[in-house]
Amino acid sequence: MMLALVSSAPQLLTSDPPSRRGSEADLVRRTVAGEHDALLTLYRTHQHRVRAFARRVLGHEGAADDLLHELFLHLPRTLANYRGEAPLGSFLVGVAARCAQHHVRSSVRRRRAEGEAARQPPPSSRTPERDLERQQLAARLAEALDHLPLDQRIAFVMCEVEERTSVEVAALLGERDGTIRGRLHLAKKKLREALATKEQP
Amino acid sequence: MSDDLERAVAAYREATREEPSDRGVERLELALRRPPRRRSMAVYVLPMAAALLVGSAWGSGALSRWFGGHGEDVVVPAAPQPSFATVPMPVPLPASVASEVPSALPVAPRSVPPRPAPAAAPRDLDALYRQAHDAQFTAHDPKAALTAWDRYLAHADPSARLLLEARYNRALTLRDLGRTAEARAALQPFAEGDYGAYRRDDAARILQGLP
Repeated sequence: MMLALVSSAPQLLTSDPPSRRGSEADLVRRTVAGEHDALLTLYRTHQHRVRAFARRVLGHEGAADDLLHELFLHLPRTLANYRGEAPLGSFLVGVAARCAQHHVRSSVRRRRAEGEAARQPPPSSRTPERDLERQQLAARLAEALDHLPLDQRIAFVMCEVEERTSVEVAALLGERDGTIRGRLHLAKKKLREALATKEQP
Repeated sequence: MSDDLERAVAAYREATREEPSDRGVERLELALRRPPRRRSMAVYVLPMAAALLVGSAWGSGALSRWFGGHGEDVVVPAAPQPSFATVPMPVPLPASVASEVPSALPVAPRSVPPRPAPAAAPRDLDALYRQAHDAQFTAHDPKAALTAWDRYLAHADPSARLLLEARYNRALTLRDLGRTAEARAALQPFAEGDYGAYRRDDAARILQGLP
């Protein structure tokens, strides 16, 4: 079972190897000091994870790009508050989760404007039947996710899709563990119902 | 978690996985190269100085003398029109828009050489952007949005913070208005990566869908 609700020890929050943390700490310090090279290095290192999260939460590629751009543009200021409690990648995902609220409405409008296809995961060029079935499953989940309130969607994406523990998510979002578990429980209940409904002929 | 949900999550995770790439780097570099928008001290000092001057003039009775009155019938000059309504557009407008805009704008005398619209202050520019954005995405009025985007672009200098966004949104309004050829021309640079990865894929997808 891939359930990520298990309360795990907080040391999971600092799971990066020490050498990487050392060099990353230097990049963080230089980014805060205004060195663009350091900021771009951090961008290249972490953008794919943050962008994947933003796409999953917003359901729109363009909106995810905007969130990513905005997040990194303001990173020097944001990182001034970073004390290394969590790996930087997770910290950035936490920041993205807090920024998502500002991008949800625009992503909904843009999806309407550009057509519903924009929210579907991109089809693979390989199209054996099994792949096709997986794509359909993914598309059904993407559609069901659109009907969740944002806080439940964030909890579900962080815990289930990105496989973080509820403790870690709670720490990243500044919430209580019980709150995250509650949101996750509701999200899964709704998603299960949505998937079951879609399956009926 | 039920099997269905578990399988769906696994499929969704795989479908939305991202690999490290340079996507968006150009856009970020471009934004970082723009000079920071710092408020000049003049923004704070000038209004204070003006208030002090008017206050002391009022107290000494000089204000009425300045306006040639006798104190009771001081004429307050009308606020100037917004600058965008009195300056010629520096960018060439599409024929159909150009035919609409001049009726709302005073025509500059021929003897006066055309000059580019002055770049608006960042705060004014943001207000123009907001107007255009609201017209497009809140009021869903593409015609008003197009006029507003043109107005924004006329006043935005090349380092304006939201220049690319404005150009892209303007292209969408052209598409919404059915002006396909213009929309295609406006989207082409995005799709061809002239602005890096910014909206490249979106523009390409929209271009494919255009009739």
